[in-house]
Amino acid sequence: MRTDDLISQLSSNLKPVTPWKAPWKMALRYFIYGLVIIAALLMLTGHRYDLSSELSDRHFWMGLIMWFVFFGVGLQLVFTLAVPGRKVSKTLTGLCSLVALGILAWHVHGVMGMTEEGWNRGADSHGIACSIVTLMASLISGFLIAKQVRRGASSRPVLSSLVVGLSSLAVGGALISLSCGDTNGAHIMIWHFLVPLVIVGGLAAFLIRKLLNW
Amino acid sequence: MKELKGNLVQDRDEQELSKLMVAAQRGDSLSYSRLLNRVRDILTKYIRNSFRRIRIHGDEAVEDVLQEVLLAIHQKRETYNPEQFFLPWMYAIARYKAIDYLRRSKVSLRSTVSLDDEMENVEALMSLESDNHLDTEALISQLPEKQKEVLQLVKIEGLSMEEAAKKTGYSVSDVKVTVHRAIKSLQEKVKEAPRENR
Repeated sequence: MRTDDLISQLSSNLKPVTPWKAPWKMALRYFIYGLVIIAALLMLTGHRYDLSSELSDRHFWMGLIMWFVFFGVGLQLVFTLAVPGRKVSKTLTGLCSLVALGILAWHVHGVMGMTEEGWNRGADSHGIACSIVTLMASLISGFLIAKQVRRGASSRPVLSSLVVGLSSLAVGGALISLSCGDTNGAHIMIWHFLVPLVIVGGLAAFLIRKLLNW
Repeated sequence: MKELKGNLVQDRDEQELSKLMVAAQRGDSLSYSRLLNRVRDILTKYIRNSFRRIRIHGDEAVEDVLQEVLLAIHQKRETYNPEQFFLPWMYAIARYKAIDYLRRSKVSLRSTVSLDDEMENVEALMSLESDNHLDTEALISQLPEKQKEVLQLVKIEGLSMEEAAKKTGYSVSDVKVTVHRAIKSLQEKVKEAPRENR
């Protein structure tokens, strides 16, 4: 096809489009969707039995806040990457990495000094129910975010898909912190974090990357 | 980059293309047709200059990439936010599509990596040139000897950075740094230059 013909064809069937908002506005919208997903699933699963006592625990708050911060920063990164020509600031990538490390450290801190018996109890396969809840929240939010990001044009689809996966995992992480009352560090590490991370990370690597190519 | 953005605010191409794109987003076919015809000329020059630097010649490849970029601009036009600059948005799409084209054409990864660098330089130089018909060659002549030598090889003779390194005896990374510094100096000179001299 000649370029002249292509231009005529493209301009003759033109439909109006709504321009994208600034990345932070898009991030805010999807952050609210994430909160709605957490609230809806929390109504289905019920909150943890010890929630009122946990609310006065600094360790609990630290974990929860880090998940929410990671979700917000991840969304900002995802929507910045999705717009051609937008530069991702080093502060943003640095903050994202720092919070990710903080989340990892929070989980490692939970298993430090655990006995073998504690590990065995935590690794019990009944914990898979927590992984399913975490994955449910992650997949719903991941689907919504990926659907929007796919309409964008990320020049770094691999990084974008990774951040979409991890951001949606943050929704699951926050939900399970509010719904599961098991305080065993190994249980939290394995069933709330590692299993969903491997599954969501794998999906992000193989599935979303293909969806985000344009 | 801040200097480049400062120039873009006053850039006639930038202002006009941005207005046309906003009208196109509202569904104005005539503005869109004008926009695509204007960007076709800019993109042809951009892609041809970039490809020439990595020794890819022939109008067919340029035309293929050009059409892919125009199609991508069409498909992704909602991602253009009227509050941002149009040219960096367009060049980012063009760069992604050109590299994607080379990957599919099985050009070695090393070349595509250097293409990214080369395209960034071509983009910066073209943005400077489009700034009210600026005479960049006159400005280049005011640069320090080393920067002038390297930039003349890269810009005027159209050599790749590897070729410029071989010709001058500098390392490739030295050439890259020198080109970056030279472009930055040019951007500063553009800011300082009185409008009537442009």
